[in-house]
Amino acid sequence: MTDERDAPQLRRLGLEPADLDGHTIEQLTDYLDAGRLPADPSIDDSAGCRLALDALERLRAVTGRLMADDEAAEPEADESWVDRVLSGIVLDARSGRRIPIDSPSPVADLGITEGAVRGLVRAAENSIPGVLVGRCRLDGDIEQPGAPVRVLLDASVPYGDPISDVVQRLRAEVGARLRAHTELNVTGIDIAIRDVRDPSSWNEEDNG
Amino acid sequence: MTERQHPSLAAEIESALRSSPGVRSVYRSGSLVSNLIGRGAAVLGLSTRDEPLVAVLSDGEGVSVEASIAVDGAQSTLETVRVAQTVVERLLATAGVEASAIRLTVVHVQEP
Repeated sequence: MTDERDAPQLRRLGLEPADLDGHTIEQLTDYLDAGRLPADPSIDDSAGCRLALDALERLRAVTGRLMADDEAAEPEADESWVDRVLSGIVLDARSGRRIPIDSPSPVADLGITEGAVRGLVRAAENSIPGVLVGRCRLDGDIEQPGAPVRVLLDASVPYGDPISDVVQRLRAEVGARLRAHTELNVTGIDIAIRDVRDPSSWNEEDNG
Repeated sequence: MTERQHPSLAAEIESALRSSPGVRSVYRSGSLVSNLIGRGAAVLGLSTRDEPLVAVLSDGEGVSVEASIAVDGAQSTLETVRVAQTVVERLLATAGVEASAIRLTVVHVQEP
């Protein structure tokens, strides 16, 4: 569970301790390291923690190293791309607003959380090797059926891939996911590439 | 108006939801605050983690159901949650209980 000593690091990422149902990103990283064993129901039964674990696994697959090491190597004031991705991951864990889903039944009240949708958008990175989605925002009155919504997201891409191609593929993947899983009236998907990562520099940092 | 809980019906609905196509998990319903209260209650021995994750309350006019679910990303979430709602509605009808509200919220779309 979160204690007060963990709070400053969470807040550096723009988060509050309650965002991961009382857990910290470091605890979730340790849980992944241990192969999610022994099973911890307080993590496994938390949708927010599960969303974060999924994204952390993808982040790990790309970076190939522990986020804790990276954070320790970074200056406090200069947010690294890993920080940006991490802050997006934990933002996803917040359930946020509830997006309605239509139903013919008069007694039905169906919906999907904003956090689940952000996680869905983030997972689009699975389809484009090397791409990592940072922050994702749904701009619009998503609680109102049919209201126009713009999707704003940051991404980090590997050096060498044509950025316009990557953006086009990412936009198509995000759009397809939103159409399949929500009834949002998406009027635009704005993607900002915040980082171009040179894999060779990771090795230099690791050795330094 | 007095609200009354239905733990056994809640357990049946939870089981039905888990069996509904495309539903991967059922999570505890309600806000973070109520979840934390639930944890505190468990610590005090007032409830256990085995209690139903689905909330079922009656107010005299019918039964309202609330559940949070994770769904399979390989299938349309829209279809999955509508089918799950139908499953709950049919279960209530079979039990002879009138549904006043069935509130289902997708909290996680799991990657295939």
